Amino acid sequence: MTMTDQQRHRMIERAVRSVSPGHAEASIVLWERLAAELTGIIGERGFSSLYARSLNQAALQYEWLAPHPPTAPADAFTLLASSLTARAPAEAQAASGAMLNMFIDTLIILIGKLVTNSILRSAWGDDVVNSAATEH
Amino acid sequence: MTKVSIQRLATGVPGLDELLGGGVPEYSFNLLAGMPGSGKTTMAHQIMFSLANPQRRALFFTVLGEPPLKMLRYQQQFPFFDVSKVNQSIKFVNLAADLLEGDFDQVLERINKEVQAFAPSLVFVDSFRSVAQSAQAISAGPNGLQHFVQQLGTQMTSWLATTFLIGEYLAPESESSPIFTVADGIIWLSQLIHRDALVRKIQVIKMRGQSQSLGMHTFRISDNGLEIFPRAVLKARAAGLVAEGSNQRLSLGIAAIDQMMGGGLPVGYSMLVVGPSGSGKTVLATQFLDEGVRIGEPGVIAQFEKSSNRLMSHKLDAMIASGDIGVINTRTLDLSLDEILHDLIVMITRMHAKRVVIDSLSGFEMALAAVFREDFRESLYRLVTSLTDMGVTVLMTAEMADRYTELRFSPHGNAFLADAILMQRYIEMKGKLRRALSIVKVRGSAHSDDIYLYNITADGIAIGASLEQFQGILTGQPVAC
Repeated sequence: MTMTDQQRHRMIERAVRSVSPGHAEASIVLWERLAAELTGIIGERGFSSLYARSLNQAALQYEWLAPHPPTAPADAFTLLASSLTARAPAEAQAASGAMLNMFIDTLIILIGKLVTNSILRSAWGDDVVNSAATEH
Repeated sequence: MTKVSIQRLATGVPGLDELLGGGVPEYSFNLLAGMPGSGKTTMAHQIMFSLANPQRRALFFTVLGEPPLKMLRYQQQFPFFDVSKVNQSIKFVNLAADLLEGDFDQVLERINKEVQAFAPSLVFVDSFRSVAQSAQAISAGPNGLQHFVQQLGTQMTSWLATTFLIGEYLAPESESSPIFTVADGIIWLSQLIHRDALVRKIQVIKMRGQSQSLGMHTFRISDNGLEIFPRAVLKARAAGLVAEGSNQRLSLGIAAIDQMMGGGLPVGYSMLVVGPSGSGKTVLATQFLDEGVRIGEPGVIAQFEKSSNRLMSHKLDAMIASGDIGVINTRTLDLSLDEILHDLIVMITRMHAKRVVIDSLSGFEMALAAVFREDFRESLYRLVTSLTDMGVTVLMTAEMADRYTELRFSPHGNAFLADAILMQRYIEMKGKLRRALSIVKVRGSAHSDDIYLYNITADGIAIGASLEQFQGILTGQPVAC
């Protein structure tokens, strides 16, 4: 089942809004799972460069995201968590969704939709991905 | 008690299994080596995607070489890259961090862990060169690397994984000897540039337990991936066996010439038609093919130049269009002989062809990459012998300017290759330029030794009178005797 760009973007926006103790937590869990899957395939450096670019792009709209040079994913997520926590939930989730979408769109440009979707499924589980593909 | 039998895995790379002696031995430890850009990673992917399935899974370790993002991006362009296999039957794992942080043992441990978890039957490590070049490898010296390779080899075989190490090496052996010693199989890819043409070559240096095809073979990387053209290696055969057992002869479609040859061209012979430009070599070749079509014998023509005779050209085009004659039509100048031979054999087999024309040897030589022109004679020998061994009858044309002070039958002394030779040349008679031909040789057969005048008409070659009343014909100026 293929999903459209629009469906994927909505899936991510919904996923970052998941109810959790802190409003940044859902985003960080998504990033951590994606990093765990992706660094295995493309290496930590590959992941960190893509992440740094997405952060930069998203910061054009959300200046407070504070871009930084490529760094280890764990450190990058700590920085992201503190940036997100400092903002109101709605704004933090919008920024986080924009950043993830940026990241995944870039990944699709580089390695194609099929491989990217397969990586997303492994990282986030079928439930998260299917919820987008089956939505009308 | 039975001895162990080694299963050979079909690699999915056209021509490679033939070189390896039947495929890659199961559980073997192999090195895919060569210069940067020589096609190692592509070959590894092609093998992996062809072999991997849910029952035979593959792990592809990337180390420091080509960034995995780029590798995934570019390899997807090949049709063999089946995305549905990724993450199901095929898993990519990056080891860069392990190598940067730790030592060989940590890399080994990580590989082991991944292998235990995924239980692959196929393991690839790309590029292995970066492991050898890591700081730790340099400080540990060749023994450290050898230890690592031996450990890896032992572990992978114990896990029943067929393993491929991919590495950039500029020349066989030299620095890479520890790996060379441990590897069961070594496949070497290289590329050389000679006068602007790039030629790719592959060599199976070692393949334990089976008889590989020795020497260098050419290959191409096209939109479909690698395709190898195994060098035609002549099988030992009894001397003089060239269809002499059979008395069957083929008509050339010109009764007078058949008669001059003692009843036609013996089946399985190679014939050289040599003459100057415009003497009607292609006309004769077309009539040879046309006669075959008439009696239900399909033919194949490797066409390296166009006939100047329009009528014959139309006739040939019509036979090609109707599918009676297969054509290998090429003008590129970077071919290898084996590529042409491969195409010829495929077409001959498909069409059950009995007659083959190579028009002309000079055009053929031009079509080859410069590097192959140097041993054109040897190559031609392999080509002609491979074809006649298949039982087809070959007619080759060769253009040679008339020389009135000597008698030569081909530009490079290729005439010895031919079982039969027909010579055409221009002579001057009564102030007119005339054409004359003669049969120079038909191996193992009586043939006419007369020289005949001939014309090229709309129907083809028309043989005229014998010139037996003349002498000095070959000087170009015959006089009545």
